[in-house]
Amino acid sequence: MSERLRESLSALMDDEADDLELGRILRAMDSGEADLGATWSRYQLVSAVLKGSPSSVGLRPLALDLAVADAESMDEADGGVGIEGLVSGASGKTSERGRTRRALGSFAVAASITAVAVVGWQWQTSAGGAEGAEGEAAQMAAGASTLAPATAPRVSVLSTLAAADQRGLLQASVPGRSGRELARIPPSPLSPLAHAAPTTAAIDAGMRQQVEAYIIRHAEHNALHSRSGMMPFARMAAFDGAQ
Amino acid sequence: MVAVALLLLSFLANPVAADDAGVWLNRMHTALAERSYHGEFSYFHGGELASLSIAHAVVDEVRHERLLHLNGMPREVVRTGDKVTWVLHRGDRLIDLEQSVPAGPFAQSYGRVLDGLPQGYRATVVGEDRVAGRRAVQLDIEPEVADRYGYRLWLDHETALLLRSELLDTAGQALEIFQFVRIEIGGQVDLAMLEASMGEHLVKHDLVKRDPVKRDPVRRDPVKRDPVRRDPVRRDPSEQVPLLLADTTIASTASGRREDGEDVAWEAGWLPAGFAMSSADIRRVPSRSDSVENLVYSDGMATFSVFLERAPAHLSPLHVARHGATVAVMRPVTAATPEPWLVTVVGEVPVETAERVARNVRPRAGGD
Repeated sequence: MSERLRESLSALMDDEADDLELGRILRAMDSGEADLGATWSRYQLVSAVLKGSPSSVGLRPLALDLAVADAESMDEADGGVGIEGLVSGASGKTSERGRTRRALGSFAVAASITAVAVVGWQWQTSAGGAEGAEGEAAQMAAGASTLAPATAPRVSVLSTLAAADQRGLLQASVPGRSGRELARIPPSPLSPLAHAAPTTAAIDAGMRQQVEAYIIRHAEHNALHSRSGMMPFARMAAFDGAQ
Repeated sequence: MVAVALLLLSFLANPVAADDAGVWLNRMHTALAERSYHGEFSYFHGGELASLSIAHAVVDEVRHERLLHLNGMPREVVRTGDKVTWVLHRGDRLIDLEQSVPAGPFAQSYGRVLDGLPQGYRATVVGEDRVAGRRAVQLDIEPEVADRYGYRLWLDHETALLLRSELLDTAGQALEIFQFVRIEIGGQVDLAMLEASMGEHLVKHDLVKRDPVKRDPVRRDPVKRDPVRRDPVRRDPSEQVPLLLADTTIASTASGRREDGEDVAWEAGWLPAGFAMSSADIRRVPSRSDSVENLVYSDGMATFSVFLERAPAHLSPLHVARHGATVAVMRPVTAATPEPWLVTVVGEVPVETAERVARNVRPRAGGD
């Protein structure tokens, strides 16, 4: 990986990547740059350690930051709806450019990321074809039988986002993954956002609270009725929600 | 690596591997309900690590349990029999959330007593390991189709209590990890450990579980079993959904009835294979004039809840939220209705599954 690319990644981490650097990173993603995800993960960890709270910073997948960064640059250009409503998290951080980057806290409601996640996952499959989500699911099911529990890698910290991150860069770079092909959603945050109407952006606080209330209700019901013992209770007790 | 393999081989020679996973799961369910134990555990979810303490005991045939959140806002869950109480500090925002959607017993609750392994999963005893200083048996529970999550469980070899569990996404990564750091099993459990420990400034919210209701008449739809799917299958959302598992005795109708006799008006037009309704109810929201309908579906391992409410004036498009293993999908109902409705699906299932369920929630056609 070139030193310039590394610096661009570092700038993106600090919320200071300009358009040139963003473009460089996007090109690297498209060309399948090796180690991109691994380097990104390392920077995340370093940053978390420097901030002194590694356990409270979720690792953000690269695709998300690009999506957020592009949304913000769209805002500046078009004066459109802000991305404040897109991603909500624990703390805010203001870069010297004045943009507020929300660190992803324990609860992320990401409409734009849904668009990224949904890209490439069409539920209607063509006749007999293996494209689309069910094709992927079939591949997963076929590959899942190769679970090798004794040597399977242990914990990998996941961030708290929609399906995109499972198939994005972080995933692809985790060592020890079995050789099966993981579906990759082309990381093109620009296009879904370009198509996203301004109404996609905002989720009002009342609706967010309603969703959180449902999450609690669900956990409570699970705790009362499931036979799995304490796990649902732990989910309830440790629920933080957005600040 | 070689040393680990040798160790594993020596364990595998042990007869514990001969007992199948279903037997171990049954033992686990029994142990969780009947054994006395207390300890502290780590709980990793949503990129965060929490510590909790737990105590559980059966006293005079009544189950007691207490969970205390050791990090951040002090929160407790205290359980006495079928009554579960939140114990919260004033100012805990959970209080507002609790009041947003009233809790309370479900009008209809279908008790599902499943033995061994639920349909749709493959379970194997993988070998032995060591957790919290105790000898443990590792089970892998893999879904047959990647429309739900898998699990790894470590059970105490002596008592079958759950010592560690991982919830795995479709790619095999852990979304949620639960692990005892220290556990003491058996012996006398100090009753003080089972009571709320937070003294001042308490706000309590009670949740009550109601026993399954015997429903009549019991009508069984012909059972349609999905073959294990290896090839992509297109499911037509209007296809009749199998609601009954052959090995259960639940009423197959999915209607819930409120106290005043009104039916729950919605159903899931599509369900992943093996999921069936386990509860249904309508709740009146105090702050609003309307009500929220709540349907719960489960396949015996995973559960998701469906909430339906009249849509607000500004109809929002699809929203997805994730919190650890739990995903919440909120969207307008796709079916044509006189007024717009909003459906929210919450559960420990992959987001694609939740989205698909949400897309296919529809008004019930006719009555029973």
